[in-house]
Amino acid sequence: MHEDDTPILEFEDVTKTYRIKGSMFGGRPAGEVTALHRVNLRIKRGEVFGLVGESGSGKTTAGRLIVRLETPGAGRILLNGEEISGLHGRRLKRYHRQVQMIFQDPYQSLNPQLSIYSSVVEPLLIHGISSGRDRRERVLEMIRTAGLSPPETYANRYPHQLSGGQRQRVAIARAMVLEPDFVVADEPTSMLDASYSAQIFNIILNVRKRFGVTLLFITHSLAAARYLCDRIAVIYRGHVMEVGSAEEVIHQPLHPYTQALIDALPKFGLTDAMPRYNTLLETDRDIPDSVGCPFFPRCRIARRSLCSREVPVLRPATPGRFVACLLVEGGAIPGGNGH
Amino acid sequence: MNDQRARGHGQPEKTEPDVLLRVEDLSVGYRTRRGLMRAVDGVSFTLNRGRSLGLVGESGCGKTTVGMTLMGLLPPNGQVLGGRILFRGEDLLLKTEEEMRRIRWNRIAMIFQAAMNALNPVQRVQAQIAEAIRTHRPELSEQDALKQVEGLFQLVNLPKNRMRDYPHQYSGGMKQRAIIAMALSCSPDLIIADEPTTALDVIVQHQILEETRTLQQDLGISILFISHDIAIVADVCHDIGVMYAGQLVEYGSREEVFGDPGHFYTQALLASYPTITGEKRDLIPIPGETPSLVTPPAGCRFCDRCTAFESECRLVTPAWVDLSPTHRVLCSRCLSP
Repeated sequence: MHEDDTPILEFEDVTKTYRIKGSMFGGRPAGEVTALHRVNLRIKRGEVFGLVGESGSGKTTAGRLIVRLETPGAGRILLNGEEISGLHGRRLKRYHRQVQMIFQDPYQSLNPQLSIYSSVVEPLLIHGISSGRDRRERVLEMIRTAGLSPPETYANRYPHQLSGGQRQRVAIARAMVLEPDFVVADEPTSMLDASYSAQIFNIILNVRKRFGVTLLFITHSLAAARYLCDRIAVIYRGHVMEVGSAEEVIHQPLHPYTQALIDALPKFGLTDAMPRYNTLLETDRDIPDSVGCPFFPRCRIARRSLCSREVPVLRPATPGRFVACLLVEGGAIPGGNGH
Repeated sequence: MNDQRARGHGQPEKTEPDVLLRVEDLSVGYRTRRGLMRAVDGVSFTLNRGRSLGLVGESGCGKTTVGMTLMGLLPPNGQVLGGRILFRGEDLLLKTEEEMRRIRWNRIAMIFQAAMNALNPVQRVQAQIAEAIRTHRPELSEQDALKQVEGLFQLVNLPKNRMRDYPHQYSGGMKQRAIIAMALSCSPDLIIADEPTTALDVIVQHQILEETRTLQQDLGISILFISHDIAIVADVCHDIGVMYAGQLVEYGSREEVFGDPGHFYTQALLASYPTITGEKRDLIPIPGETPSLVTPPAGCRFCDRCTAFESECRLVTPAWVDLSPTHRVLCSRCLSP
């Protein structure tokens, strides 16, 4: 059987900067913020890929670039080997059929004047897909797949009659009704309580199993990424710091930032369950506009001569594992907190 | 920890130097267009000096209302329907607004959700904290107040050379520490923190929680920590109270509630959290939605979503069951060991 190993989605050296205007009151000078710096990612067909980072990491920007809400300043984004920024007309329309997004805020993503049915059928109307009874069946079936059952009851309701968790399920139904190849889920549960988040996670897994869709799951939660994702990338200040399978990254983290994230996670009172890496300085080094590794000001094991000068590049560490750390050689940090 | 008495069996008021706060059968409602919403129903718990209690529950469970009621800060459509709030032996619900004003900050300080956004953007941080100090202690000079601010900065790990900055120059974590400094400024007996770390990143949140725990221990302040995130309070609080649909459904030490959760809601809540420790297991979401608090169901409020549901659960008002001298559960079907 011929195996197509073109990744379905690829970021090739993608950089995105924003200009910020200066403030009249002298608080902030005008300048640039680098949201993404030379990001390289290869997402495999059919996988759930997690992009894990805190605020300001650039993870949301990455999602927006994929659905073309923004364009990269440099570098290329490729879907099935084809660059997406050059698309227009019919090919662009096809792109929007193939790539969909689920947004974070369930209270903002649905048009309050449209019934649930109307919201979910809308993409089919826009792309002229299906008609009549067939179309209706398709919509109801997707509403049911998203966990809203019986679908006829929910189809007639309006967003204000639904809870946040239910609205996110509608968002999933709408994203999936076109049966896209690729879905970006941008923090779909961060505004929901834990028990409703769990429902959404299971629906996402269900949808993946059923439709074989590839998913980019953007999140600040390593625990959620562990649950949902096959592979994850950890991103910090626009730089991808580590990539690998979810289990490996979490249980054998190579990058000091990933290790700091793990140290910071609540342990539910089981303090001996995970090793402590202690890679975070208590107070940041005061380095105005450093040019080296973005994590240098907070990194306990950094070497100033190296880390404050050079920007680390994502490199293979062991098969399937990539790290962007100047101190990493052959899969472990020499003299650091080995495991 | 004295839970027998926390249930209000009508015993006479003895002086209990250890008990700082005793909430007895508190009920609070909000008048809405659809009727009276019973946001808090018959909640009782105690908080001893030097202890921290985590009040956890999902949105709408009533935990924030409890905090607001303790501070006397209910909105105009809110009303206390019954119960007592005994703080240092005195019922706060009987206090006048003037008396409450004197208790706030001096005795009980509150850290609201996203309080860091409430910092005055056009005033230097040190000035804001100094102002808070002098509002409640007008006898202090500006200089003395600033000296106190210096001490507070040290206490909360803020660099002294940032005292003269404006809030926008602070990171999220620094702003939150400034808020904590303000709460500590009048040396209160009790701090009520309502989702104090929600807006913060994972790493900063962890730092703040660690610092809070250290402060709590070093200063002997009692903290009521309100959060929707049971994982956060797990690492920080001595005792945990779990709320659901306006009621307290489980109460015990951290070890007891996490190690051996008694109420089916607590168990379900814990099972719905993804964790990084241990073996990867299926997340089991809790089916259904929370019940209406305008017309709350008779009997157990969780029964429609409960895996151990039996028909009597819907009819019989659940009673408290003691699983240990310090661990109790509101459930008819719960078995004592």
